[in-house]
Amino acid sequence: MHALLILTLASLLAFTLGSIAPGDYFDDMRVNSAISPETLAKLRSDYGLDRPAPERYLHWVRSIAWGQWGFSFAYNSPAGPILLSRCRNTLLLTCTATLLAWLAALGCGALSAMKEGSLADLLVTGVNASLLAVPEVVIALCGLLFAVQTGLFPVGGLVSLGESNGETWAHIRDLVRHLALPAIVLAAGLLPLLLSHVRDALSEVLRSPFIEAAEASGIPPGRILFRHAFPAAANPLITLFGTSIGMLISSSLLTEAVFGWPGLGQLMLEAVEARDFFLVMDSAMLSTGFFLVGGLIADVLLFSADPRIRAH
Amino acid sequence: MRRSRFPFLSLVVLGMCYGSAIFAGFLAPYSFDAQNRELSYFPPTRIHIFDKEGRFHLHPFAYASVPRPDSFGRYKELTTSWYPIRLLVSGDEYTILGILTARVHLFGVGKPARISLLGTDVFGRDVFSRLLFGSQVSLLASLLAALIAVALGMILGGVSGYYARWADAAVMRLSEVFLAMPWLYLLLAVRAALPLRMDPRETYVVLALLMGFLGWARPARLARGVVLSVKEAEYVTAAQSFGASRLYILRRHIAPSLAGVLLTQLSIYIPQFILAEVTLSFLGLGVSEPAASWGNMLADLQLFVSDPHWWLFAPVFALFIVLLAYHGLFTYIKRRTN
Amino acid sequence: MTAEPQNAREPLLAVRNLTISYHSHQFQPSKYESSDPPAVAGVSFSLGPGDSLGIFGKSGSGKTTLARSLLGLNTRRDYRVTSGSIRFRGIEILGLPSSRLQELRGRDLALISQEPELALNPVLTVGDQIVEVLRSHVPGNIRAHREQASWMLAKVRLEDRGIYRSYPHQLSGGQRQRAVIAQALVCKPALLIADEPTSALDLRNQAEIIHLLQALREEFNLCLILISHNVQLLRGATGRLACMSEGRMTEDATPDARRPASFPPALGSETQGQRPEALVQARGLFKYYRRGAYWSSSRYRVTALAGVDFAIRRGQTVALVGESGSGKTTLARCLALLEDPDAGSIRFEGKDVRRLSKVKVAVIRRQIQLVFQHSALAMNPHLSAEEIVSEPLRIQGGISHQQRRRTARSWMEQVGLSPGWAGRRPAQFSGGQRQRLAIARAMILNPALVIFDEAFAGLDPATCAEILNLLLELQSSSATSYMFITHDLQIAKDLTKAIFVMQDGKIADSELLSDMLLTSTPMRRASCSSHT
Repeated sequence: MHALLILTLASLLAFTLGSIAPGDYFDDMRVNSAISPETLAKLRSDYGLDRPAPERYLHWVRSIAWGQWGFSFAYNSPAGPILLSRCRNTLLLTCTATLLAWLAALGCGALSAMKEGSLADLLVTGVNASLLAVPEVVIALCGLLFAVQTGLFPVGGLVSLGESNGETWAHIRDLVRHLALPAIVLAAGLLPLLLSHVRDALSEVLRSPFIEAAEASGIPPGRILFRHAFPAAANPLITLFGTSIGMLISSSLLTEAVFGWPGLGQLMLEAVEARDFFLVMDSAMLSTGFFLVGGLIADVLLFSADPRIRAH
Repeated sequence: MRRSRFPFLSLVVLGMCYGSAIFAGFLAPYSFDAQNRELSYFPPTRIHIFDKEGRFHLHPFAYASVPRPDSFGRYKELTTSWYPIRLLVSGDEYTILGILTARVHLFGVGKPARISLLGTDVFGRDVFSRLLFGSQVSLLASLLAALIAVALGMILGGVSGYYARWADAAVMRLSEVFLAMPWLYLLLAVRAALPLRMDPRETYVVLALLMGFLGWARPARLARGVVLSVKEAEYVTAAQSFGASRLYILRRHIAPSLAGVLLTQLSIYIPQFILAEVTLSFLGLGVSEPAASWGNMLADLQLFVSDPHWWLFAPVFALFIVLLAYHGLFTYIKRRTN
Repeated sequence: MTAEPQNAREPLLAVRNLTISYHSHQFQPSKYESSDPPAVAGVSFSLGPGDSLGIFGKSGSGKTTLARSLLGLNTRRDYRVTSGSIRFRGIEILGLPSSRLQELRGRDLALISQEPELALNPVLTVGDQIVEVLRSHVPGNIRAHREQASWMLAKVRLEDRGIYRSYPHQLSGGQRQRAVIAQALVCKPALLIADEPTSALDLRNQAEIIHLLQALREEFNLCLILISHNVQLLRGATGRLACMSEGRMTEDATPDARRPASFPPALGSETQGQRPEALVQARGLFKYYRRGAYWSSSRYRVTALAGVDFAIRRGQTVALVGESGSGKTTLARCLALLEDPDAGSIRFEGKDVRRLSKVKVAVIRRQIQLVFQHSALAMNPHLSAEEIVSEPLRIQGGISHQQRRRTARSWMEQVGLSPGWAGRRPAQFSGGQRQRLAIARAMILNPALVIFDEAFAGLDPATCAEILNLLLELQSSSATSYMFITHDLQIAKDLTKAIFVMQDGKIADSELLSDMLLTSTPMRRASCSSHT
């Protein structure tokens, strides 16, 4: 399928970038006079770093197929398991944030569109515009500050050690406490864009002739909103969902970095700084994969929601 | 609906910001890396016109300060001697746009007093000066990057839309690959391919080129869309029926539409590039210490969250102002073209 | 139709002295006292149950504004009722709170508008949309409502079970309009207002819809208000007739069934200025289009032109009639040398176009001009009217800027547009004005042949008449040939005697033509006999 082609090309791109990196993990060791150049050379050949590029690429692809995803020098183990746990964490964070952001966007957007021009609308659009001007970095920092100053939320990591002692409920509660702030921050970064689009889409739909015809048929406004307007606005909104996933993934990297959430984003950052290039390539590939999968989900949703698309 | 007013305010604000970025060295009293470990977290200098005895001085002045012996981060003013604030003083050396070298600063104060309008950071470096120098990177580099990306996108997208067939398919696939990767991951991956610590001057250019060359995909798709839709439009067919040549149609119909759309998009892209640079520097992968960037300065905040001082948030306010100004510009252009 | 006796008690609908004004956006956004003439000025009439009223008038006369205000729908920013009252069953509509209005609408009062595809929600099935109206007004369970919706669909002759589950885009124009009618009448309201219900449909569907409305009116004892710019349509259908002009309504017992006196006599029917040899001659034209993507296996070929022979003489006026999809536009584009036919030849003044050099072809192209149907699309929205009209001169070259401006403005004046508007953008003109601009642009090069591709669709008769008069004048002075393409046989007959009918990519022969001229829709027959 189309998506697979893109994924393959992306992997090529990632690999090319990874291999033209000057220097590798072992560069730092060069400084250490205790380690001889021969040892370094042997280490390098052990890890296959001195093979030609195409061979390394195929080797990497094969290792992906086997679930190993290459080798992490920093962690001194196959990359696969590390990636798995990190991906799970990132998924948890992003899904929660998406849910929060979309619920807020749909709610406020609907309110704003229905009462277009009123005080509520101006308030919502005004706050939204200001929020739009605030960079995510800042939102994340503010969140961090809030956490540290008020002590309401713990910072760093998935769970606090020793909090739960293995009890499921306590464990979940602890997890939620750690998840809350990063998720809210991530959602807040995504919200302004979503809200403005939701409001625009709904506002346009509400001005359509068929909505007016529904109004002329005496259908109450609440019903019009939910049974007539939202379904009609589904098309642009689902498309928005698909395209906003890319932004979401990038923002989650930032959020993870600020809050110390052990996810894929933080792994990428660590890997770049440690020049652990298998991890770099893998993380880049996985993030692309998530984006593409999200896009596919959006396509499927669109197909089921808009009969005009089905007509093709 | 309000009628769209010409965004004078936005343009003035942006003009001031970019102007101060270019003349950062002149406007800043100190260099960005001038440290003073004794005066870390020094609050903004108080400017007085009445001295301790209540006498009025025509010339605003400042007192020197020393740390309070008992606490860290608290200072006491020495009211024994006062130091007037002078204009056009000689100070640290700087360059304008890398070409002109000078020593004259707009204002300054005699040693040992310091005029830190926005206080100092943990190393005692003047925040106001760092803010100005930081804007050189955050504003100018991102502007350059945006222009590169849009220019590249316009060329590739325009060719793709106009010639269609193979060129179109190839460019579109390529753009999809670039767009399929979340931008920050792509940026980081490419950044990983470059040396970690680079000379600040090099970093500046590299950063601009990096962001510019990676960001071509969206403008290209947009340009392609515009070119395609104009090419197929009935008014182009009409022009052909009057005997118009391809060149005429390009010049008279396609180019203006393209320019119009891209102008609108510039006011969205530039802020995005600004944020990309800030994010990158914040994560430690942009310009490196001791060079200043708004992202750098924000990173300091992260390290010292337990002890935040309000003046350290200066880059936040600066960013806010710049982004709002761009938003105003964008709203105006959007209203005009609709 | 025999008029029902007026109800002696309170009439069903009583409108007294209704005045509605609107303001133009450019000026004060918040003040309503404008010097613009009001949209509706002092209209009064009343109707009893089962009555029918036809309202006709040209576009912009306030008919739609009136119709909408009867349901209290003009409470948007633009319109404001400045005086008068509308009483429905004794209840004052104006100023009624929206919750009460919502109860009345759909249940007691209903409105259907001009374009059915716009009135239907594209993502809901037709049946569901009807059920929605029911569920808002009539208590009951969903199954009963669904049955009632199906019953209503059967009443409007959409008995097919599949229609219920279809989406609007899967239906034809006529079917959609019936669905809209079903939706409007499902709660059995007492009053139905039909605002131009047939303007967007072709002739056959028009007649059927009007019949349907009459039948439903009798069955449900509906009070019907029928609005149209086509008087002939209303004449047989409603008991009373009223004319609206510039916001004022005057009731007419016997409206003039003939076309407006200013309608010009058939163009080019005399042999004045005609030369015997053909100006443009097409022989055996074939044109195919491919649909579907490059690599798709379902790529198929559509035959747009299947062997067309056609000729037009200098100074002649011909009309080309056909249903949509019959290939008329393709033929027009081939004749205008904008597209190359896949087979066949086109001769201009005897010379085969294919044999000529590109330069010569460009010269000939200028001699044949095409006026497109959608004037808005055929003009670059960023250019001013003057620039658009003078574009042909600019492309041709060799004329100074001043000269171009002068010529453009003089042509604008000739087509009836004030030269002071030369700086305006196309979007600032109305549809009719844009069409005039398009004509000015086409004529500015003094072409030998002008092809009007459905260029008068959507314009009201008075505007059409003005423009046609203008064209007649121009023809008499410069022996220009005209080719009018239309789907409306009526208009074609009014224009010229040289009518060609196109069907499935071919020009039909003359027997078929005379057959079509006497086709059997009752309305046409009625109007034909009235003409004599």
